[in-house]
Amino acid sequence: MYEHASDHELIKAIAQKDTEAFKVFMTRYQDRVFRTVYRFVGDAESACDLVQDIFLKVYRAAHSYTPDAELFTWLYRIIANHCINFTVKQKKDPLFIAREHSQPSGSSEADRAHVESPEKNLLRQERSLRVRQALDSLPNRQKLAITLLRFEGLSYREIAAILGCSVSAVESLIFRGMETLKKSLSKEFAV
Amino acid sequence: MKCAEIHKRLKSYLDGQLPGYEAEKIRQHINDCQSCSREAALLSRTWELLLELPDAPAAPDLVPATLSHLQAESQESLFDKIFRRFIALPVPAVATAALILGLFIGAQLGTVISGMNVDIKDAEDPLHLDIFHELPSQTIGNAYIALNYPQEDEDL
Repeated sequence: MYEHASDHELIKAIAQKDTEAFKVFMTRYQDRVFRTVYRFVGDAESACDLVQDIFLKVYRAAHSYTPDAELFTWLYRIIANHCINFTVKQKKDPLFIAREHSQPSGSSEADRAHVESPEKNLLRQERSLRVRQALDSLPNRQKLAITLLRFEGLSYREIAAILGCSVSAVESLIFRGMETLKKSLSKEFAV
Repeated sequence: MKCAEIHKRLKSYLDGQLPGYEAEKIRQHINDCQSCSREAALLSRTWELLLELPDAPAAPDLVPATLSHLQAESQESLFDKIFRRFIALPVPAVATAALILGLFIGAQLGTVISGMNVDIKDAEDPLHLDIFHELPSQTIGNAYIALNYPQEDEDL
């Protein structure tokens, strides 16, 4: 029924608590939302829980969406808030034991591991871990701006709308984040 | 443009976020400046390294799991709604109802109990103390009977 509905039509129906529309919306956006969250938190299990919470938030907050705002900006704001809240809680929780950065089964990384030689695979995994640690060391907003730019291909203007700041503030966030990453990953350049 | 200024805008330049005239200035500067050219290369390499982060699609059960979570939540909220409606009744109304109910139960119980009352004074043999009659003298029980029922004691 809703397969060919526009995003706006879907959100309108979700606001009326239409679960069929909600299902179509989730199916449409699940991979995109999961990829963003997974790259931000670095752990498949936490990402899965977070994505579920994000969609539930969409369901509950659909009535507050106004068509004059871009839908993806509204959705990404929810994603950004959940991701930032997650890392804040994680840092505050003294009992939190950092999970190993797990990959979901069937991921492209897992597939690649089958093709590569064990040595190459190990090296790649180590490098990936160092990149993850470098990214995790950034302040949340820098990390988020870089994630949205690098992996979602959003423009500075779009990121500014999501983070609720100016384009020049986004430029500054990305510049500072990249400076830190460059220093942290300088050893990788020789590889 | 100075090198420090160029460094600040390099990432935006590499991302194609700068207006044409400014991008052209930076491009020319990089061509002439070894330090800025090296900086641009380092930034590009760092940017490439980010692709080392694993990528993955969502789990196949994400949508059904979210829907069942939502269903469980809506059932729970229905219970909450009913419960809230119950506790949301005005406090004076509940207190008045409790008072009327208390009075009614009290009145009913009073009637029943008054029907069961026995007038001790009018009873012929209210205490049935025969069991004490054979108490040995010089015991506390015997002394008690003697003190409280002197007549009976005399009869004995």
